Amino acid sequence: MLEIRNLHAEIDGKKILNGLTLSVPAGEVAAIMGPNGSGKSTLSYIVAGRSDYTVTAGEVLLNGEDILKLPPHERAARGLFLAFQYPVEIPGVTTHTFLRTAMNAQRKTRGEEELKTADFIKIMRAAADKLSISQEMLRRPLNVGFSGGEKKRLEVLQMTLLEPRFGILDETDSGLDIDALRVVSDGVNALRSKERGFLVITHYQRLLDYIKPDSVHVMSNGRIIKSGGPDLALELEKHGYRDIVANAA
Amino acid sequence: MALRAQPVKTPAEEAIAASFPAFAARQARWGGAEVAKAREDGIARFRANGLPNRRIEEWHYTDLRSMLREAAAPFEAFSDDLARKAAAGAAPIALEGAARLLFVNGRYVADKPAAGLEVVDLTTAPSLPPVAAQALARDTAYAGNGAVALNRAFTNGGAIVHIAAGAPHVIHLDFREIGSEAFSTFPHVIVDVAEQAQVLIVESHRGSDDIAYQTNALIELKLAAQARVSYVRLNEAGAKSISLATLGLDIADHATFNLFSLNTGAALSRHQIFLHSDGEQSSIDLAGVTLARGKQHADTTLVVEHKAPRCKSREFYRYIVDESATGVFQGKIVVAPDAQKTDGAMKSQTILLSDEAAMNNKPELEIFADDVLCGHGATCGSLDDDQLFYAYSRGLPPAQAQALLLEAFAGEALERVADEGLREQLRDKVCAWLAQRVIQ
Amino acid sequence: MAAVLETLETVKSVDVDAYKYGFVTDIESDRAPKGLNEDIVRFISAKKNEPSWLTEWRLDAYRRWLTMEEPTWARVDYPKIDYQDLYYYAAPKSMSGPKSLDEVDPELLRTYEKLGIPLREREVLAGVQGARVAVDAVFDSVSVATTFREELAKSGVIFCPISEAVHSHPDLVKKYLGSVVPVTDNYFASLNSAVFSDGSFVYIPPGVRCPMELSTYFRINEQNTGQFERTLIIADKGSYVSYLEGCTAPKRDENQLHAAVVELIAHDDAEIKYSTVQNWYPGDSEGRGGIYNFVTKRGDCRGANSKISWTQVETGSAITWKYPSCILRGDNSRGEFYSIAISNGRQQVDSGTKMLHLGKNTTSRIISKGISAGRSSNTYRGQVFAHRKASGARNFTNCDSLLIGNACGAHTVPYVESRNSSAQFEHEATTSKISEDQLFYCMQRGLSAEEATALIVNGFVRDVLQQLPMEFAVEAQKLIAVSLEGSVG
Repeated sequence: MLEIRNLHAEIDGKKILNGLTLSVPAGEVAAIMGPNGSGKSTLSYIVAGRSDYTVTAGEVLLNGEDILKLPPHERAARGLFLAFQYPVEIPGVTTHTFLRTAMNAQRKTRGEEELKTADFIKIMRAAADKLSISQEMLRRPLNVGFSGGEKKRLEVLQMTLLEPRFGILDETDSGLDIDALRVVSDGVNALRSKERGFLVITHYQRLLDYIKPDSVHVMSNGRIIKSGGPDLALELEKHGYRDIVANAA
Repeated sequence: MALRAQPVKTPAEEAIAASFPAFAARQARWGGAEVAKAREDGIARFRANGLPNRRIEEWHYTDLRSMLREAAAPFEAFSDDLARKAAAGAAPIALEGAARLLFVNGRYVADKPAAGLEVVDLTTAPSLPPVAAQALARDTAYAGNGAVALNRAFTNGGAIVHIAAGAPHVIHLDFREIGSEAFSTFPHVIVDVAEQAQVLIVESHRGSDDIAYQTNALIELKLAAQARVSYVRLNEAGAKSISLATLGLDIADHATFNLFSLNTGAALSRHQIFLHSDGEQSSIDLAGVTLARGKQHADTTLVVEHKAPRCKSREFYRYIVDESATGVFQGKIVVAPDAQKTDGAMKSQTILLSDEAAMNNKPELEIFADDVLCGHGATCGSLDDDQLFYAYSRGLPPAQAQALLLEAFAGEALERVADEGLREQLRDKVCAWLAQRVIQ
Repeated sequence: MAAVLETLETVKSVDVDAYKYGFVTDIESDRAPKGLNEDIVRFISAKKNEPSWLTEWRLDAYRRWLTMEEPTWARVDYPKIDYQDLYYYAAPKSMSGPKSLDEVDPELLRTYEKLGIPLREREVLAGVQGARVAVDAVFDSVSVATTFREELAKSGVIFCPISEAVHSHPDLVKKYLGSVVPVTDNYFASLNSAVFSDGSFVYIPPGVRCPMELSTYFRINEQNTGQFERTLIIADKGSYVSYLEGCTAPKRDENQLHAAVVELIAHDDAEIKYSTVQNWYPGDSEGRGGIYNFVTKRGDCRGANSKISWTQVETGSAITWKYPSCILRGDNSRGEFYSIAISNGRQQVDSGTKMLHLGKNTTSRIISKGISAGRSSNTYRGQVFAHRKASGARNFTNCDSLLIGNACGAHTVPYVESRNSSAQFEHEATTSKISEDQLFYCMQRGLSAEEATALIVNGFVRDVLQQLPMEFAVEAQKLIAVSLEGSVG
């Protein structure tokens, strides 16, 4: 599904990723944990194709295809979805308009037919209801004036509607209270399937109580320094990152 | 100190001055003493100052002296046939139940008058009715403006409109320029809005793309107490034209004035708004979108003068400038000593789409009262990278992502248009402009 | 409301004559004949024993000045200046050549003592004055003393009167003089180029961090005399200098002209921090007398990664016409402008900056705080420009105005001009008064109306005060209080 091989990357001459290798098979959820500044968010940006970063070596394969050469929108059309840690505000574009535009753009890139407006509204409403997103919210400009919890729910709504093959959740738990965390996790869990993979980036173990990972990877200094099963997260919660990072160094 | 010679007059300036006596003599059959006096006043100011140029602070970014190389002769050859031909052209905008006042090459042509509306054609009367004469003789602070002086000297048509209270009116001031060779037009329209009257006014400018015609319109609007005016302006002037237009506004107490202006036309355009708010608690909202590409030069210049207490004004302008075009925004908020509790906020924002494009922004505050809250903000830059990446990551290709963000950028100003039907038509025009964009 | 009324009443009753530096030094002086012509220019040049290239340079400036017109675009109003009715050169008679401090006329030393300017190094060293600051003292048309020169020379720093640098470092002067502010830049700059008398010269060699603050203290003493000083500061590669400037003048009924030129040059990786506390005599409450402060200050960030920062506290002068600017030529260079401009009485201020972005990834920041009281007029005028090639340029501008009383004016005139799509400019401005709520809150906690106003005004200008070197900031804060005397106390 998602294969990252020996990935090196930098920004403004500063090295951020130093030979990161990670494999997430279809149907699995991999969690990446790590201290602040370990390069976790950078990894998500690079996989999604942000142009400020320069990949100096390595490859990223999605279903066997190297996607590093593709512009971000084509990666999205091939089924890659990034739930942003800080979803961007776009004044003047209603959430509703943005969702429809994105869905149809991806369909078009894949050579599929556009959705009929009535069909779109039906699908959107059903998905929004499940995430406790009001119709009023959908009429407001995208993310503008939304609370942290509302923004994260909206990211999950987009993921639900866009039906990606692979989802990356970047610190989706940050800024969420327990209730919001449950709504968001339920949304993600509902999307888990044999064909779909997930990469969950988080600083805390808490999120993994709700979204149970199949594997846990510790990232430090731009690479994976330790991998293990779900127990690894609990161990980290208990002892912190310091020992593992020190042992790896 | 060494003496400096007066700057040499350009050929265009000399041609304009030379053409005046004969023109004024030919037109003397209409307008009576008031129009004659306005002409003399206008030409005297022109002779003293010449065409507006960069040495004059308010024309710093739009140097008409260097941009207006050849002065086209004022249009005089009206005919019914011409009027019919112009009237047959496509409507720039669909307006339900509107009274249409058509102006062909500057001359008023009665088209679809409506009940409750009094219109006097400036050019039919040998002498004007007292109401019209008074309106024309009004002393204004902007009489010294270079474009206004020229309009008053060379007025070649126009109308005086009185809007009574009662049912809301919709009026379309439909300016059209047609012809096969260059000419200039100087229409003067005066609109009096009675106490408590309500009106939606749409002013549109359209003309042939093939000729380098020049228009210089003066529209003066007086709002009596508690009048409510929504005003939409559409500049779709011909691609080679020079389009100057001045809107003079006199606003009484408790009146409301909302304006939205969409500028896409003309090679060189300048829209000037001079607004005086003389009564307490008036409410003013000015907004606009300017879209410029090619070698277009598009200027919006506002002076909003608060002379009475407790007034509120909002100015919100957005520019999208592409290719080698130049945008100019000058906005000045003046608060007189007595205008305490003025609440004024002005914002102008620009997106430059090309490294050949230029934007000149001059938002000014001139405050003489201490108990006020006034501010302005201006930004200039490219499309936001974070927003673009977010849109890409959701699957939008670059062209579509940019168009979406640009439409939204213009759309936030369009929201100021209250009438939904009108707003959607304006939005379509914005989208059509964006659709023609060439992305390198 | 009572609090505000009281404040307004006190402001109205203010006599600007609270000016504390208005005394006259009784000293014999040597003056050029009144008026301006080529002979006067030659006279000044001869007085300084200048090489012929400089005499010619001055004459060229003078001839060009004759063809120029006095600028009228600023929002200031003053009667026409009769340039033939001024003295263009005045020097204390005892100062016929460079001297050591011991030989300086004791009357002059007393003058600077009275002004609080430490000229005796041993006093400074003994901690009498607190901080260690090297001072160049300019009295009317000449520099009377420059302190700490030897200590500075140890690190290679040149700090001396410009009249001396012309002789001791002719190559540097010839190379840089007029390279930032050309002879024909503007009317007052041309005039200065023709008749400039003295000023400071600073050169910081590559890699040197100047070991102490440098400062120049300007004093106008003579009657009917213009002051035309010229300052030239060069920071070579990788160097750093912080420079302070202070000005005062006696109270006189006539207006006096001060037309200075300051040129700063920062090479690669160099940084110049230039701070001014301008307290020229502002005239009395009826607008009689006071200095016309028509000054051209410009910094050239010539090298990559260079930085020039202007900080000004403008409280004096009858008229201020001043726009310290930065030419951001080197890639990644940075310009800053921090300003507090206070006007009271009949003062007129038209001041601001220009940030001209020419190089790539250049950044600039403008913070301007204007406070108008009395019957004064206070204008911020600033230009931000991005050249077609200035990719990645950034500017942030914030100008806030505060009005105290209903007889003054506050104006904001920014020119924001972009020629590059990747340049990001952001400008914001507000005009307001001290709110009743703020005053009431402070007074409820026990402050008098005046104390409350002072507190709020100080909060309003805090961002800028923080940019000043510590010992200067304290002075500036006191000066602000004095300038708003009556409302602040």
